[in-house]
Formats: sequence, structure tokens, C-alpha cells
Amino acid sequence: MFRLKCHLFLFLILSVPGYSQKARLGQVTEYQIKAAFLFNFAKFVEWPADGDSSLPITIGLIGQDPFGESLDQLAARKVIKGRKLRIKRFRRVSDLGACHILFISQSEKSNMPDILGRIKDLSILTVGEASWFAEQGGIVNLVSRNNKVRFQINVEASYRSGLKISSRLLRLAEIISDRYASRGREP
Amino acid sequence: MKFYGTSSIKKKLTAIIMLTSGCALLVACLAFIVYDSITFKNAMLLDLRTVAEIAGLNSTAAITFNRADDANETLKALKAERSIIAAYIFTESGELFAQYFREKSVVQDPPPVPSELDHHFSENRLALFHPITLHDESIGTIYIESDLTELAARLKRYALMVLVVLGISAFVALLLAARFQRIISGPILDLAKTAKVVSDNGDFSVRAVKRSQDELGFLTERFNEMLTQIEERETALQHTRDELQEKAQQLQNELLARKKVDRDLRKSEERFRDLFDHAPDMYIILDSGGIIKDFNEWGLHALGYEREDVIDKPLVQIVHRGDLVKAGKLVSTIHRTRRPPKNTELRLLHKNGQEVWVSEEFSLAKNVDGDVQSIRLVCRDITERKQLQKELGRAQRLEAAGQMAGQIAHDFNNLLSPLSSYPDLIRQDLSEDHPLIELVDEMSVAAKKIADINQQLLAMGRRGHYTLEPIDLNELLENVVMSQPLSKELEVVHDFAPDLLMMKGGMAQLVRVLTNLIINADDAVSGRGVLRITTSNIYLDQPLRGYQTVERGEYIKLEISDTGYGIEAEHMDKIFDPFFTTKTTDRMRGSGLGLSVVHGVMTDHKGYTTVDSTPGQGTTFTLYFPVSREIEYEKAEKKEKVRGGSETILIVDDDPMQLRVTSQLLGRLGYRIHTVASGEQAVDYVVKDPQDLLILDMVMDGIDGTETYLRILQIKPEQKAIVLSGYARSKRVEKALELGAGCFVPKPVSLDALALAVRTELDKV
Repeated sequence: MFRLKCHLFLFLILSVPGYSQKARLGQVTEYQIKAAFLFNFAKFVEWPADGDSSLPITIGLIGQDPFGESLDQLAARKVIKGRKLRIKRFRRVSDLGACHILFISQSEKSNMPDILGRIKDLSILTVGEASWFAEQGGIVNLVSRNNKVRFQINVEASYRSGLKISSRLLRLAEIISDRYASRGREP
Repeated sequence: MKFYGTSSIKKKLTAIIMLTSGCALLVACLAFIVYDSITFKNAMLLDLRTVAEIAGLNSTAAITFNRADDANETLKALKAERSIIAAYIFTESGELFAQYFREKSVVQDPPPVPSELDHHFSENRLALFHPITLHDESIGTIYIESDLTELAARLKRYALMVLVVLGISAFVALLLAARFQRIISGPILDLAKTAKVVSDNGDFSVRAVKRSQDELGFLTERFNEMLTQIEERETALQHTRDELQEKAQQLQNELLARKKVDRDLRKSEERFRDLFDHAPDMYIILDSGGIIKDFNEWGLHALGYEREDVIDKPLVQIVHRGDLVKAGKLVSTIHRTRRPPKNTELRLLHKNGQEVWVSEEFSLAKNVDGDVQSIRLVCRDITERKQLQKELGRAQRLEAAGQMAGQIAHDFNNLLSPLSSYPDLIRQDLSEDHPLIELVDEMSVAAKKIADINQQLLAMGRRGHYTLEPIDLNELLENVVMSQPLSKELEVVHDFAPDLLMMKGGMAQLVRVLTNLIINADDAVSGRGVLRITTSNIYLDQPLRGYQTVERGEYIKLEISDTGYGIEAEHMDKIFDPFFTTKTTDRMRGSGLGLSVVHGVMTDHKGYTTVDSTPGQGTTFTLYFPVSREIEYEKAEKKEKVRGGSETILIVDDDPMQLRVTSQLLGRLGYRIHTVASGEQAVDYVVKDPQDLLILDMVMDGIDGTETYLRILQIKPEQKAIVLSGYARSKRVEKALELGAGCFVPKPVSLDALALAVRTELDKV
């Protein structure tokens, strides 16, 4: 029964994008929405030299997992650009491996520069939910505005990672620059 | 259709070209417009689809991340496309996600999401559903509605352009057609012109000009060839016609020659026919059976028949019944002997029933076998000769009888003296009552009767032995009628001419004649009856019935008519014979000498007697006494009162005696008299020598008196004239009087009447 409920929910979230978030927020948890966002980002981002396009798109996760089952359920169902999805959970920073999207959990707030530094040269779309994430060099930061999930994008960071983010996505985002922050922090 | 029927070929060609090019252009334009309209719609659709695609694409992120505000912003960009009226974005589940209206005020209800995403054109709208996909995944639908004003404007522009193009091309086509239709119409018109010249002038030498090598050229060529053929034929025809004309001329000449021969023949035929018809004998042609086959005009006229009365009838039909046997014998003799019989005399029957004596001569026409084919008969009318013979015989008979009677009467007269005188002597010697007295009286009566008969015989026989004295017949008649004891039932009517001329005669003889006739009339009438006595003056110039000749001149005519029992035809010949009488009854016993005396006396007086009688109706005796002019002259001289004059008078009469009498009468009165013998001469005479008065005889040879007067009046309208005529007033006389002739003086003319008429007319103003 629960399983059926989940399916219905996912169906609503994914197949009807214009569905009023407000109306559903009471029932849909914030992370369910954020999970959907993770997947949807994949639709508007192009990775350089992606190699074999038949390989699944890997969504990495570092830190404490806030999504629960919802992320796996989505990955199991969803196909993006003809590619399957794969969820990869990293326990520690040292465990970090190749992935397309990396969700950095709040728990890794302190390790942020280290994580970002490690994957600096890899074409990974980093998604965080900590304040100042984007200013610190993260690419996409999920923020909450008026009870709605919005996102910030650090375009320069995406350039540095060699990622091409669709202008349509950019139009929805708050554009953040890390020029001053990184300059102040780096010395 | 009227255009089709009556317009010239030029106009037709031009019209055809214009119509064709106009239609073609119109079709092309319409096709182009339709094509363009379709293409335009397709392009529009494509454009719209592109717009939808772009808008959809631009909305993918907004849909994906449920950002309706962004989607609305995206749709707002459609403002640039002015034709887009409205746009909607629906989510995959069909819910309205974003919308856009060109005019904010016009907010439409969103359309239902169609099951099949497609476009559709309505009257002025193009609506398009377009799916929004993201990485081949449908995430929603965009609906765009566009108006078609651009299309309408475009069509309007096209229509205008088509009109302009049509106009210009029509003008150009007209110019070209006017130029190029000549290629077709030129040769045809040439042909028509040539044909007109040929038919109008009959000139086959003209030719049409060949202009091209196409069918028209071929037509022209054939036409010219045809003309050549016709020309040749015409020439041949003309040649034949000339020949024919020549032949016709020959024929005409022959015909003329033949006509002349015919005419001559006919003339000859006519001459012979004329001779046959009008030779003064009867020519009769019979077939062998005695049937009349031809009869000449003279003969028909002489017998009073019409041609159809006798042709194809047997001859015996016109033979007098007294000679039927004789005629039959003649025909049978001819058949038996096959020779013409001797000339014979025969009585034929006139149509009016009278007998006509003819002497007949025969000749026969036979065939080769000697059979009689037809009988030619020439009959000469000898009735007059027979009549004459008869009359001569009677005259001789009467003469002989008269002489004998005279002789006897003379002798008897001498012997009668004792018989008539002695009874008186004897009676003196006898007593009154002597028985012989009665016998003597009877003797005396008988002697008187004998003396009377003797007197009649003497009157008949003693001709010319009496004295002639002037006699007024009217006066004498009155005396005689008065002295006669006529039956009371007999009504006597007198009709005496008051101007009756005088005659000379023996009074006693005339009294006897008149008495005899009146007594006969009285005797003839039994019971009621009328005795009419008429006297008149008459001029005789025609023979009277029963007389061969009549002395031409003035006569007194006396008619004594009764309404008695008439005279039987068989007695007619004998009535003048002495001692012939029909009064054999006791009541009437005639001596048979009455009419013998009349005849004798009339002969002595150079008069004529005719009798007309119809048994049962009555008898008319007509006596003609010659007028005695000497007495008239004497009378005229005595009458001083008749005034004369010295005027000029032209007497016109074809009778020389009448001329002489009239001119003598008037000459004595002092008039200057001229005479001419015909009307024509009178006209000529009057022109040369005008006369105061004309005296015109009415009946003349040549033009009659009326015609003469008419002609003279045309020259001299005032010419005076009087008319003389022996005939009663006729229509011609009336006509002359109408023309203005003074009066009509009947012939014979009395001096008084003539002098009075002349004087009256001359004195007329």
C-alpha cells in the first residue's frame, strides 16, 4: 500500500512538472522535491567528454543522506537523455570517485573546501544546501525562499568544471559569483 | 449568340483570343492564389510551430521546475509575433500552467486539451497544439492561436494584383490579338472580298492572294482553282449560249418563214372559207347517210338557223314537209345510182316555219371503190322567183278575170236595161192588187242586185276609166264610216294623222274600197269587237311584203284593223280572187268580188295592199296611197301665211328625190338652199361655207344625222338644225334633240310643217 502511494506521488512530481508545489508541500517533503531537483538538473546540464553515453548518469552523495528512500526510488524509475541513473554514496571525502552530480550534504559543511578542492578538476555538478555554498565554489545551491525550493548557480564554477548549464535553467536560478569569496579565502 | 451570328470574323477572333487568354490567366492567377494561400498557410503553420517549439523549449525548465511565473514570462515574448492572439501552456496532466493574451482585455477561456495534438484552421484563426518535450519526453503542451489577418491582407493584395494583371494583360492581349488575328482573318476576309467581287460583278478573273502555307493558304489556292474552273466553264457556257442564240435565231427565222406560210395558208383558207360561207348560195355537205356535216353561213342565214341547229342532223329535218318524200327519194337515188341526180327544186323549211324554195344541184365525193363518201349540195334560194311567178300568175288571173268581168258586165249592162226598166212599166199597167205585182217586184229587186254586181264587176274591170280628183282621205273615211250601218257591238276607233297629206284618186272607186273593207271587218267580228282605222304619212324606201318592188316615195298609210275571226292561212292566197268568198251562210252571202275590187282599185291608184291576219285574233288591211305633191304645192301657194326667208340652209339626205322635194319646197319660200348627199360631206361643207340651218335626214349611208350633227357641233357649237326622218322617233332622234336640234319632222314632209319648223328654228334666239 505504501509502495503504491509512493509511486503515485512520484508520478505526480515527475510527470506533471507544473503541478502546484504549494498545494503539495504539505504532503511532499522538502527532500522529495530536492531529490526531484537533483534528477532534473541532469536534464539541463551537459558534461564534457562524457564518454560512453550509454553508461548511466551517476549521482553521487557525500555525507549524511537526507533523502531516505526517495532518491533510490527515483533512480530506479527514471531515465534521463536515454541514460539510466545510478546512485553512489560516498562515506568520506577520501572515498570520492567519479560521478556526474555530487550532492554534498549539510553534514559535510566543514569539509566543503576539501571536497570542492578534490573534485575541482573533475567535471562534476556539485549540488549543496548550505548557505554560502555557491559563494564557496559550489555550483548549485538549493535554497528555500517563501516556502519554495529555489536554487543558486555559480556560473563561473560551472565553467571551471567544464560543464554547460542550459540557459533555461540559469534563467530560473539566482546567479552567484565566488570571485570575492575565493579570493578572500584563498590566501 | 447574337454576337456569334452577326459579328465579323475579326471581332470573333479577337474575342476568342481575349477570352482564352483572360480565362487562362484567371485560372493561373486563381491557381497561384490557391497555391500561395496553401503555401502561406503551411508557412504560417510552420512559423507558428517554430514559435510554439521555441516557446515550448523555453518553457521546459519552467515546467520542469514548476515555475509558472517564468513560463508566463516566456509566453510574453510572443508579443513580438503580432498575429498571435493567445497562447497557453498545459502540463502533461492537462492542467493550465501558463497563458498569454495579445490584448489583456480579451481573456479567453482556455481550450480543452485535445487528445491529438494538431493544428486547425478556422475562419479567421489558426490554432496549434504543440507538445513540449524535453529529451524526447513530453512534459506538456503549448497551444497558440493566431489570427489570419495577414493571410486576409495577403489575399486582398493578391486579388488587387490579379485585377491589375488581368487588366494589363487584357490590354496587351487586345493589342496582340488585334495584330495577330489578321493572320487568320486576313486571308478569310481576302477570300470574302474576292467572292464579293465575283458575285457582284460576275468577274471570274479576280484571284485571292495566297499568304501562307497553312490550311487558309490551301483554301485560298482551292478557291482560286475553283474560280479558274468556273471561269473556264463560264467561257464554255458563253460559247454554248452564243451557239444556242444563233440556233434560236435560225429557229426564229424558220418560225417566221413558217408563220408566213401559215398566214398565207390561213389567208387562203379564210378566202375559201369566206367564199364558202358568204357566196350567195347555200352550200350544204352531207355524209352518205344524208346527215348534214357542214352548212355555209349564207345558207344558215337564209334559213334562219344557227350552226348547231343543223350540224349532225339529217337533211330531212330542214325539208318542208310537203317535199319530205321527194327529198328521201333523192338520197336513195344517189345511193342506188351512185350518180348525182338531176337538178331539182325543193322546198326547205325556214326556222320560222316558212317555206323556202331552192333549186338544188348535187355533186358527189366518192372513195376509190366508188362508194359515196359525201354529198355536196348547192341550193339557190328561188323563193322570190316562185313568189313572183305566183304573183304574176295571180295578176294575170285577176287581169283576165277583170277583163272578162268587164266585158261581161258591159254586155250585161246593155242587156240589163230592159230588165231594170220594164218592171216599172209593167207595174204601171197592173192594178195595185194584181197577183203579178209581187213577181214584178221580185224581178225588180233581182235586176237591182244584178246591176249592183255588175257595178262591182265594172269597178274591177274598168280600170283607169274614172276621173282623178284631190282627196283628203281622213274626210272621206269619216264620211264612209258614218254612212255605214255597222253593228252596234263594234267599237270604231279613229286614229287619223292631222297633217295627212293629200292624194289623187277616183272618189267612187275609193268609197267602194273603203266600204268593202269596213263591211268585211264588221262581218268578221261576231259579238263585241273593235275596228281601228289609222292614217299616217310614211316614206317608203323598202319593199313591202308581197311586192317585189315599191316605188320609193311619200305615201299615205291607211290601216283598217278588226278583232274578228281572221283569215285561214290556206285562204290567204285566194282572198283577192274574184268570186272567192267565205260568206256562204244565209246571214252573210258575199259576191266574192269585194276584195277583188279593193285589189283592182289599189292597183289602179299605184298603191299597195298588205294583209296581216291571225286566225281567231283579227285581220289588218294596210293600204298605201301615193301622195300627190302637185296638190301639196298648190296648197302651199295658196297659203300666204307661211313665211319664208333668205337664210342659207344645207339639206343633208342620201335620197335624191327627197333632196329635190325638200329643196323645191323651201326654195319657193326664198331660202338659199344647198344640198349634200351624206353626213361626211355635210361636215366638210359647213367648215368651208357656214350655214344658218341644217336639215338632217336621220338614216343615211355612212354616219347618221345625229352623228353628223355631233361632229358639226364640235366645230360650230351654235349650229342650228332640224331632223327629218321616215321612221318613228327613235333613240337616235332623241339624242339629236338632246344635242340641240330644233325639232323632228316626220317624213313624208308636208310643206306647212316643214316651213313652220324651219322658220321657228331660224327665229329661235
